Amino acid sequence: MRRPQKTSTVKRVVADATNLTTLKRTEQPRLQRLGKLADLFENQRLPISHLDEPRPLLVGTTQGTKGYTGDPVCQAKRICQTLLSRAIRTAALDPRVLRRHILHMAHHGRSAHLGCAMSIVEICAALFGGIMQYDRSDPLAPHRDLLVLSKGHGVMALYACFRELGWVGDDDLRNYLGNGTRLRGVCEVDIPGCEVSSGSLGHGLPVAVGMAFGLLRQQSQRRVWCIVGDGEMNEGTMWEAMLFAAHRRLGNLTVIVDANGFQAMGHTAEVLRLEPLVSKFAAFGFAAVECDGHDVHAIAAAVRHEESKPAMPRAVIARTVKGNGVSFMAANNRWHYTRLTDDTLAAALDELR
Amino acid sequence: MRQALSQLVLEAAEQDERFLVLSGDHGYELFDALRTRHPDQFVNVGVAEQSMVGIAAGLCRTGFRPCIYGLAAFVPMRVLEQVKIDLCYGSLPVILLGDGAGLVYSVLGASHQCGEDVACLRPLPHIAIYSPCDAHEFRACWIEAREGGHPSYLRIGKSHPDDIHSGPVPGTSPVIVSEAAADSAPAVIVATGAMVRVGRQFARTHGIRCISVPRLKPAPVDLIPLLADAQRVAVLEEHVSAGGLWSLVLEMLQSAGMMRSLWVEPIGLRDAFTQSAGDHQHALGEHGLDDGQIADRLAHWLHEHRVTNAGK
Repeated sequence: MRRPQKTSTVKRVVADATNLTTLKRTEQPRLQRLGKLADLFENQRLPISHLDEPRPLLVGTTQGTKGYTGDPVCQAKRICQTLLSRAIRTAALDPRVLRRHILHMAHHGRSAHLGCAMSIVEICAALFGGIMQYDRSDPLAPHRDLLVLSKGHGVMALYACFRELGWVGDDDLRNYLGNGTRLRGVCEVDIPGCEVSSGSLGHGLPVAVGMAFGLLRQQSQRRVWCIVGDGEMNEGTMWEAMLFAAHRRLGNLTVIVDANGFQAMGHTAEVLRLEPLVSKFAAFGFAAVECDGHDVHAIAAAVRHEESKPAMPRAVIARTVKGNGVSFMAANNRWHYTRLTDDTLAAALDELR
Repeated sequence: MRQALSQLVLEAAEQDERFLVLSGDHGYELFDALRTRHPDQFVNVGVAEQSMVGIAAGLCRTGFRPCIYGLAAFVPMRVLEQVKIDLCYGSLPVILLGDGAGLVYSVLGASHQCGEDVACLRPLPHIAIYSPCDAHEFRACWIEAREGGHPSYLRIGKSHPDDIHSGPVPGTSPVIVSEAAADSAPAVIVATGAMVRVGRQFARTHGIRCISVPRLKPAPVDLIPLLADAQRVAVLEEHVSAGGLWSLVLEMLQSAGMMRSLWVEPIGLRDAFTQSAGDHQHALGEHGLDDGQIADRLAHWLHEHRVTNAGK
């Protein structure tokens, strides 16, 4: 079931329902909202505010029409309900669960790069939780938004999301980095859900910019989301790509900087000073804003910031803590390269119950 | 050859709206027709070659068919890792056009000269490497690159006014450009790109075989049967011999078990940067590769190592 088919159906049934002479007056406000919703689906943009409805839209049907498939109102309701329920399900990525997956993977695979995965958990949860448009049943759905993890070393956070979405299995996580297994220690494009092969820093953003440029040329409504590291911002290609994105007015591109303040060998402030990042992005022609990178709602609000400026690429400087979620990993750069033991795993999991 | 390039790029843009040329602020006259008639399909990304390759990869992943143009010293040399990761790793059908390869930019020195591109690209999986000698070979290479479904590099060296071939060539396999005379010595000149001209000239004068090799990767294995009767081979290229066509010929001969009976003479760039200003022939002269020096070296190779049929 592809969304475009569904949207056109919703549009059609809403139109049919609007023309119904027998329509109850009390249904009209709901029908209007349904029409709005259909428009949003039609445009393939469903802002998070619509997913956050306190009660599901149009759940209650009158006794007389319930189950009567010939009734267009009833049809439209059911279609929207299905879409919404799917959207609401995708919003339920629990950062604590994601972190537990990351810890287990890192332990099984004796993987480093725990800290840089932990710092982007809420960013990923927010993106998959309603900001991004995607189809949970098909990671390669042709109308999906594109998520580029430019800081490829944080890939365990993505895999944890994929596990929750059913795109990778428990076996994949249990055998992480085992001989001959498919999940590697950086983002690889052959894993559905990973849109680029990253790992060598400074590659993902230029590719994301090319994607956004391509989609804009096609007048597509799809968006490109690119998570970059603050350490990665040392690379010259990042700034080259930013110039191009602003010059070409790539309003469909959002760069999210995981500003955890660390890079491999120390504090970014000590290795190669980057701040002030917000004004640097702004000076390069981005609509830039910063937010608490561990607050899913704050991230969602930040990506909506300055949506009214469609001709500008957007940047969210997400202030994060490397290793966030486990007290002894937080802001401790040892966890860029330290492996978990049975004891440290148990202690970390204990904090995430 | 450059006219053919302009024409083929224009044709591609007219036939396929997914086709784009990306340039790092180079190629002014070369793309005038394209820029006039299809301005949307020419994207000047600015002096930013590295991100240009990434942007091309992103465009390719969203359905476009980009062609990246630059001076060979920058595309592919400056962007080698982007070519490896962004293009080759995903085997994306992106064409790289490296102009002015070899010592064409003689007056601009080492920064603009490029004698190592083939050696640097050959180890990268998925990429095809072409080194056409004239407009006809360029057209064949271009068609193959456009249809290949993987990254391709077209090396564009010194463009000579006259074509080598009298008409279209059937493909990109090695092609004999000068056939051996009936009683000639069992010596063969193997050349690629701009060096085919001087190699063919010598071969014609001395009645020996000369072969042009337009495709360097995948390996031109069809070359081996053409060398079956040879006892001496000279390999001409405007590229360092190590890692270039000379290495390629050695590898293929060795794999075919033919090395024991063969002497393969490298006639390529020295392991050195050019030291002084001057024209193209002067720069080649620093490497012992101007037209006169090549003729002398080939004569020496032919004379010193001449083995007659009677001596077999």
